[in-house]
Amino acid sequence: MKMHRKTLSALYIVLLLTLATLGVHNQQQFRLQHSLIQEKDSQHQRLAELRGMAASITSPLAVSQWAASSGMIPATEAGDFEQVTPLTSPEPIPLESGLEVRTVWR
Amino acid sequence: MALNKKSGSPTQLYLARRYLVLMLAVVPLFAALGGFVRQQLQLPTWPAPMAEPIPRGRILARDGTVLAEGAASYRRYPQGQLASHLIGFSGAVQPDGRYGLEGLEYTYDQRLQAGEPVVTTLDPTLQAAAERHLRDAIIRHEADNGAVVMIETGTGHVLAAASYPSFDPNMRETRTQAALTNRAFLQQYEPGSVMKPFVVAALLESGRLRPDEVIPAEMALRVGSKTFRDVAQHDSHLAVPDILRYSSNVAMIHLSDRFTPEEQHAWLRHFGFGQEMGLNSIFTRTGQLNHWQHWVPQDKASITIGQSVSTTALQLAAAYSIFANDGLYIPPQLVVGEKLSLPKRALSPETALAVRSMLVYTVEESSLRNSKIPFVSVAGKTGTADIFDQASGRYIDGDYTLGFAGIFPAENPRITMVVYLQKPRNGTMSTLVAAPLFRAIGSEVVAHWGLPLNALTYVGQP
Repeated sequence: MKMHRKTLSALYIVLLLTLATLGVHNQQQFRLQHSLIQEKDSQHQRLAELRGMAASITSPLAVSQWAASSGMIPATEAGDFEQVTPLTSPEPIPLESGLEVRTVWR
Repeated sequence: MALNKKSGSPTQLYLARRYLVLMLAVVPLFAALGGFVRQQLQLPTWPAPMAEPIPRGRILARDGTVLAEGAASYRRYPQGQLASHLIGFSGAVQPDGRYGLEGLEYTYDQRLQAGEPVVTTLDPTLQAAAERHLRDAIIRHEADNGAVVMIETGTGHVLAAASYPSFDPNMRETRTQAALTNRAFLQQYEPGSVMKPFVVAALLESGRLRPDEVIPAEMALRVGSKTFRDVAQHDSHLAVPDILRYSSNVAMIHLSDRFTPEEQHAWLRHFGFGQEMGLNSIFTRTGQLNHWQHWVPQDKASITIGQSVSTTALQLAAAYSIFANDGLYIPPQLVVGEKLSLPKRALSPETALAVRSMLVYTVEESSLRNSKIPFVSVAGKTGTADIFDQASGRYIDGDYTLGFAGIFPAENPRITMVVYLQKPRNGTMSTLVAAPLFRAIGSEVVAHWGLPLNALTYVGQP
């Protein structure tokens, strides 16, 4: 009976200490998670703000307004165009046979 | 009494053991609590205050451009005003559990709350072109408001839908009642002469008109209590394409006499007027087409020329796209994957092509050259209509809706577009107000596609 009580007491102490350790660890994890969520939230907000700032310069509406204020017009309204590159690729010169060997004597 | 060190009295030993056991049980407990206190930790409250911000799906353009993003608590609209009438905005949670307050944010709230994205059919570049040119035209002509709708041929995708006045959903102070109205989808207006091709199409389709007929066209005609007049000078008889070219009200009224009111009403409903748009993604309106039994004689004549009947820009664009789609009515679509009704055949391909050819003739031969887009052919029609004031119950003198509806390229249609401005103080003719707006936006569309080959002067061959 004495041994049994001693074992239970020891087990109780061990479990109590384990519980306390887990509690502390849990608290630390909780605080870490909380701070990470806040960080994620602020990063999302920051991303949205940065995207908005970028859009104020690069969005289709901003680009369109900038182009118009800079005196640009749609290409179709320019009226005078020149095609400076060939419309089609140059035709390759066909070989006389499928295999051609050239020997150069020096 | 001194205790025996080895044994002591049994009672004392018993108490000492009890004390030891108690200490062993309590001390670690206090040690643990002390540990909490020393580390300045707090016991978590329940429920734990660690809830993440409520997620909300993004709203995207079809090319992936982000139109709305962020959790409900810090929703952002990176493109600012772009398509703001369609996207809408969200705010604090409402009694019904929604966060969305307007537009797609409202109608797709459930899906957005599930964190799923909503992909629209909008093309941001074309949307930007429509919004900028609409705003410029309204400022230039000192108009009250206006709208533009652009639909892709073959798919019914809404590529652009602009309304003015506009607002930036990021800025609360810009959300005035006038600015919030999605005029492209909701504002009902009498379209005027842009309705005429539908009566011609119905007559051709029903075999009551041949394209080569000549119709009497005096300059004025009295119907019931109202006298209808033509604006442009023309011959006393007009071929069918010339009726559209001169936009002859009188000849059109003569033509409409070939329909009973019941038949004309049925045909207009057949083209979608007065009907639900079938768009589930966003609010639309049906326009107003009174039942034929309530028509007085002048109503039938008025409706023929686009008065006493109202429509929305979206509805008119969808109806015009019948001519572009070789006679098929394809329901407009704003959100990718949206369930819509199946396309239906509204006209035969021959009739659609015949009307399209007449509309090309109208643009090419009349004063509508302002609507011509360089390097592509345009099939289109202007409309100038008086504005009915609901409050006073009469038409307002000097206030007009100036519109244009068109298709391009006419020989191989890709776009159907409707534009209109209301109450311009500077300019009263559609040909000088709406047609140039159509051209300006259309030019940007064609430039966006890339220059057509017929635009290029070929020089040099290696």
